[in-house]
Amino acid sequence: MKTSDIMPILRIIKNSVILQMKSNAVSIYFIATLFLQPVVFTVISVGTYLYGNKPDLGLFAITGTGLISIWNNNLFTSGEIIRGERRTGTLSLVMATPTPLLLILLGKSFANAVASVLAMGITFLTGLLAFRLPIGISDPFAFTIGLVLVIFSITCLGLLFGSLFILTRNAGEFVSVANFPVYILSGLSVPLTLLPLWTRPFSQVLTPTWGNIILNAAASGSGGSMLPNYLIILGLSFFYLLIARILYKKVEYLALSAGTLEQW
Amino acid sequence: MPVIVTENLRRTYETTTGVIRRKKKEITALDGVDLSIQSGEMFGLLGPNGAGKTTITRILSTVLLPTSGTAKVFGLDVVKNTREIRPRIGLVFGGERGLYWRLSGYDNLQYFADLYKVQPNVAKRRIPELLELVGLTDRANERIEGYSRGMKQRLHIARGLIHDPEILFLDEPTIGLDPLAARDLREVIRNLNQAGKTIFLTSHYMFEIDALCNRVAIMSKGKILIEDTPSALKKVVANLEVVEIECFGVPQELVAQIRSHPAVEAVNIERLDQSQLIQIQAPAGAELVKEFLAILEGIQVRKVVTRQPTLEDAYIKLVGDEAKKA
Repeated sequence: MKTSDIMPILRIIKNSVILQMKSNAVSIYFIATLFLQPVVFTVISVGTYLYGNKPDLGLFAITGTGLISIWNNNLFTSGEIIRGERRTGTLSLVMATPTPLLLILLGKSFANAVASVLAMGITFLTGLLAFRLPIGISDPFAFTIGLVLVIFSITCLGLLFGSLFILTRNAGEFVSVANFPVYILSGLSVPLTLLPLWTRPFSQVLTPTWGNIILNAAASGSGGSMLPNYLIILGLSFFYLLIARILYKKVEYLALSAGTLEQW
Repeated sequence: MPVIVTENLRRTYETTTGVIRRKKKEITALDGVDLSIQSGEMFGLLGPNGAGKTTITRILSTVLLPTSGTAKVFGLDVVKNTREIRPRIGLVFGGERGLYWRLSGYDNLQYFADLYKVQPNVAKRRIPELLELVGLTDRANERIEGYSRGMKQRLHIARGLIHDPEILFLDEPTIGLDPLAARDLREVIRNLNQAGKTIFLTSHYMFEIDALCNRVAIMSKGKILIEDTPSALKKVVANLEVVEIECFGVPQELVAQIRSHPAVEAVNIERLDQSQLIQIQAPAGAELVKEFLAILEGIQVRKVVTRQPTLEDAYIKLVGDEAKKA
């Protein structure tokens, strides 16, 4: 691919990020999801472990809750992006352009994911204020790289679910149901060791599983080399993008065929 | 050289009725449409609501797939060659939707310029030119949620032109605009055609099509009823005259009586502020006014006028004939 081909792609992603950030800044729904949800989840999750005499799992609860917030925020706002495009009547117009919809949504979803870094911060802060859990992160460098990678990867995973919103305006109900298995199977709400063995293959193809392992290890200082886990997250991200590319082509065709692009 | 060709184009939609025993129903939006539009033409598609105008515009602009038949733009298939067609066409829908309300007019154009892969230096030059063309230079940096309907509609035109398309599809572009804004917009459309753009315009305003288009097709219930120049279409009603009776509170039974008069070709009712305007098409020189007034005996009549038919009357007759056949 030449530089002249890459520049327009980067420009579209950059401008989609800016467009989404401007929209988010005035969206009550987005702000509520971003700020309120991590506080509620942290209080419930950390509280459960502490009052259940498992204080060693406090940090696990913090990182897990942070990732749940990032995942939730990304999933629902990715769906909201397409719902918003339907509402404003721009969905069919952006589909009429030569730019693949996947690229546009990648930029917009990434904007949401970047904003959701705040959710992780709020989670740690809630842990400190409500339960006096220290914010201390043993390996900030590994933690930061892990967080960036997991946010990118969760964005890619969110795009897979987001494709359903192109097909139908009623995808929200399905996504609400599909949301919980992802963070349970990823070991974000309960440790993976408590889940039945047959769930392991599902856990391993979900990027939040690896994100949680990295963030936990980096925060507690218990991990060795992070490189294999980084590579797994990157590999999964490209795997999601590959499936998303195929899925979006199929879904776009089905939406054009059903004539549902302008329903809202 | 034709740039748009459709052959036996059909589009059906499936709807369901009922809650427990759901029944599927097929609705035909387009029923075997054949069209051929030349490069540089200003082609008008007329028809009542639900005639299929929007469906055909969506298919030609690659955002809806036909059920059967073929549609080609620049000789390329609208189903298989969307990637090649999309950069060369522009699409403008009527109404206020289709823009990012939280962005400024300039930012909207910039974003669509990126989506159409317009080079930044070209976009930098073209955006101010387009804003000038549609008269929005002074308001370019304001969020468009504060724009009037006419301003949004003009911005739509600018958005549709951001990548300098060869064909512009305009689907009811003046709908909901006040007369002054609609006139300004028509002037913009006329200038674009004079600059060499092929324009595909749908409308249900006859005078608009009459004023702008070189060639017109009239659609009803998914079919093209007739296709010709506006002046040739007027010949459909050349041997008729139109009696217009403005009156107050006419019951449907009396309108039906007028409609069933053996000499009457077509009847149309327009609702005015306080009154109704009955437009009756009858053979020229038949002198039927007295007979119509006799049918309307007891109804307060404000004004009676006999006039030459227009393109609108040709449209009313053609669509009316089609309805009678059905």
